Amino acid sequence: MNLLQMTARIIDRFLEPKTAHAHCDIPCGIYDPHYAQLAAHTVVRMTQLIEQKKEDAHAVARYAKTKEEHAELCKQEIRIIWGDYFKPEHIQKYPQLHEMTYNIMKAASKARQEVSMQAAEELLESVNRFAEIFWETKGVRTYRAKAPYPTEREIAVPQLK
Amino acid sequence: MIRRYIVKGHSMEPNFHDGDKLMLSSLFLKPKSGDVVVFSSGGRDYLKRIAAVTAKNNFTAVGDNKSHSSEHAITRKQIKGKFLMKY
Repeated sequence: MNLLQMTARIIDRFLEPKTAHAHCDIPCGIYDPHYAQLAAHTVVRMTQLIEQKKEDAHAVARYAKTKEEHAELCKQEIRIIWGDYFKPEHIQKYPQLHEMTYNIMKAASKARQEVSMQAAEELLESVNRFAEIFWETKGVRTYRAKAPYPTEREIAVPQLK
Repeated sequence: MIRRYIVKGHSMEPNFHDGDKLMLSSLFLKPKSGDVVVFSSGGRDYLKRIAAVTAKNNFTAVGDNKSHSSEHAITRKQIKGKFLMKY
């Protein structure tokens, strides 16, 4: 033990060293907005189906249930990324993130409560924009493509090559 | 200037263990890839290793124990010291 180490140990008796955290939540580092995007597309699709089959009460009940479940799933996935993934430095770079997340919560609630294509589309657009920012923070470029789903709406996709 | 820290957590194992006491230097600090640093984020101090220099004064920091650590994008201003020795 050298003199510096001995001195540090003596100082520790009077003044505790600071804590350096070497941990984080588990699972770590595995975040992806894709589930939220799928859920938002499902909300759009269920809204389409409800409007197409208004006369079939049984079908409408099933579509409404699925729409509500996926609106809630969308909110949950966005909350996880917002709360667990985004760090202060991300918020500094993208100061709109807090308001964007809040607006997604409100849009998802509206799309869940109502049968409104406008609300469903607003939800999908805001989730796609959220996904674009998420990938930007990882240095991954994205592009918009027509999703291969019956919704025939856009999806923001990462360029992972 | 020398700073003293005690490690809490397992994200830097097997090189740094929970309870290890460390000395860090904040003098002549030129962080580079591979350095172990303490940086401040969200009101907390974290011990991680610099994995990459992403731009001038911008770094990616990760834990040595990959299954217990996530990536952090940090700037030079957040870094409080570079690891010198255990004591």
